[in-house]
Amino acid sequence: MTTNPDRAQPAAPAISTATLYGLMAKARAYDDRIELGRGDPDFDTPPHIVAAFAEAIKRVWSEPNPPEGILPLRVAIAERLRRVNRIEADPETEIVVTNGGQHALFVMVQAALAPGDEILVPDPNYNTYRDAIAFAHGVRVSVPTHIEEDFRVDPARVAAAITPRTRGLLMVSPNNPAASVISRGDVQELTELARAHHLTILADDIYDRFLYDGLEHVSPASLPGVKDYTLTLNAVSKQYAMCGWRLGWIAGPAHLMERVRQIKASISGSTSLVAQHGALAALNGPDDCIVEMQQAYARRREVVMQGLDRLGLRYGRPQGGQFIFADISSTGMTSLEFAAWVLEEAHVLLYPGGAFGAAFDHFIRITFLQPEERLAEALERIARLMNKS
Amino acid sequence: MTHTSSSPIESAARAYGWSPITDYPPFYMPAEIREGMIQALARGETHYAPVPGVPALREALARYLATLGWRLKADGNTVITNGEQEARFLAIQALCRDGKILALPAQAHPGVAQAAGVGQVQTISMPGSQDGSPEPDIAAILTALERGADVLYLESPHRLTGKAFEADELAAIAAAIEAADARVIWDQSLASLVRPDRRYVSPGAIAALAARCLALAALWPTLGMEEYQLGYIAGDEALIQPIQTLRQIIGICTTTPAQWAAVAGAEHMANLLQERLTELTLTQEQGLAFLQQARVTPLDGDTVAYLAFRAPWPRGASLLAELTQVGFLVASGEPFGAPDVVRLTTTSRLLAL
Repeated sequence: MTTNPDRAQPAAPAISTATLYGLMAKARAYDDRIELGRGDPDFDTPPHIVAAFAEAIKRVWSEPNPPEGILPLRVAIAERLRRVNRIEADPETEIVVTNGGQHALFVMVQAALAPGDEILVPDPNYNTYRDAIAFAHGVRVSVPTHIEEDFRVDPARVAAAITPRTRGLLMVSPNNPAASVISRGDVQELTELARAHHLTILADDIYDRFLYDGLEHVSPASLPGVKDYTLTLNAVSKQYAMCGWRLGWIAGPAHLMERVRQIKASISGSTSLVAQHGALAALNGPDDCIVEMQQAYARRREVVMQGLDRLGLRYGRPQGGQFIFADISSTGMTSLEFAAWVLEEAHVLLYPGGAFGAAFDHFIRITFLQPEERLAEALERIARLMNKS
Repeated sequence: MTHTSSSPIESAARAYGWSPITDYPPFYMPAEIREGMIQALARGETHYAPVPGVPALREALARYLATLGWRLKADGNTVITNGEQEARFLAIQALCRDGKILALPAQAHPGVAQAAGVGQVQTISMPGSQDGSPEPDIAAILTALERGADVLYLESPHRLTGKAFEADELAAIAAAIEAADARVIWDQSLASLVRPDRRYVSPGAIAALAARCLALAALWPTLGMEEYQLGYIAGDEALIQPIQTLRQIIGICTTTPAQWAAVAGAEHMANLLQERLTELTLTQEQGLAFLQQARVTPLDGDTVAYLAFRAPWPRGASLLAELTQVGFLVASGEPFGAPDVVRLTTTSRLLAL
């Protein structure tokens, strides 16, 4: 029997989600800690959104609130999909509001997979995909990506991984944690593969407003005909610094969305009117705040890249998102050993790469969700530690 | 779970600013709750909350649960959820994955079967009581345990009739659960709405049961916060731990500003709950008198929230229209598995009778 090197076995990651929470808890013991782990922007929700929400919520505390979300919000989401993603979605039948992006991810996976179904997942990937697929009794089939290729999702490798049991293809762009962006050409090839093999595309667009170096984001469902077999998720969390509000959405064709609606209703009923009116205030307001955050993240990315260059660590150049995935194999440590060491000795929280795929246990994820001076300080602490050892 | 009501009810809701939700008696939400939330936003409470919930809210929850007889710590024993349906889903899935068998009442809140329907939870059904009422009795519970149930789902007070288990029934359930080494998920959403002349016995007050029980409900009763979608799960630390893990996976945490609204609400609940219980008691008496005039005999129930009755009833559909006009919120028993039962939720409008 031969093994196809581009069809990796669904090995369990080396590090569980619980371990990441353990690191976060440990970090809280250090008053001088710098947290570059979790993807929670340091920015508070912009004041104009809070003010608009506060005004709206005075008039409403209860209203018909179906599991798919209040209609004005679904209309606003449809407008955002049209304007930003070039996706046409009927707010009546093709959008379901969720309790945040992670909830959207979980619901989407449960709706798309039956037990035993295979889903192609580019590695590295956000750790919750593993948990959601396992919950659905699906089979995660890893499609490796490589730092030498800036973590490009190669359509040829995806094609090699397809079997008669394959039902889904996950497309996360910009990717978390690798920060790679799927090019228009690759999106076209991947969506064509999905069409030819009758796969449902699960598109995660959560970082679609954060791209660098002039790159473009291409939503798979924006291509002609692709919407018919694509579920797209997004949320207000990252783009408006609204992580705590827990408001996301899934968009897709009506024939897939009825199942999404049923699953969402079964898991959590309706979404809080607080979150929905917060999102409505954000989506109906100006986008200046997003531009400001884009500019800040671009500057921060430079700070982290320069720091890593000084440390001699290689990394995939972040094309989008809010993090850098860096190779620490030169230290001789596993990712968890390195993260624990840096946390204990430098009081800097990083996420170990093993949490994003077993093959990435010699990487760390660094978020740039702190001010530039804090990022510089964190990298300086790590440099002192590495030079000392 | 929201059951949208018929158009007269929705009209009333619009006219009076009442909640259209029939699961709970509708009340105005005190302005201080909204103000508390806005103040929290102003100080930057817009980020992820801790997975189990904002500590101040869990402290308030632990104090509230103590009034129901539970002795639980905020930290380690409680999880705040995005509404009661999410609480149902988390409790069922955390206890019943890995081949465990869940016994469900044949007649229960429709959200129970929905929550168990995701994934591959094995279920068996517990029929209603031998006397014909919708709630399972101790015989039905024992039969379910004999059939191999690992986990029971119970509602007390029942979500269709408001009937609560008596003290001797709880003692029998506790003994049966202990003997079978089973666990219980206990919907106690209506616990604080039990009529003042009835005594509610909480599973938290019986040590053998409390150690094997996860309690769940919506937050907070009678404060008009239903659509802020807050719920909780509480219980022994060993049972709560897998809930926290699954809670993180399905959505990280519960809406932070809504949790701060509930923190503000907790300060008002002790006073308002008593006031509103008194009001509901009065309105329910009015409603009972109306039903007697209409020659309708309610099913046995223990809360001020509901009156339920079974078909056939006089005047058929015209009576239902009349009931909505006078101020009841009317729900069909069909989604609960009891198509011949009608549930009436009491409202302040009944005072006009």
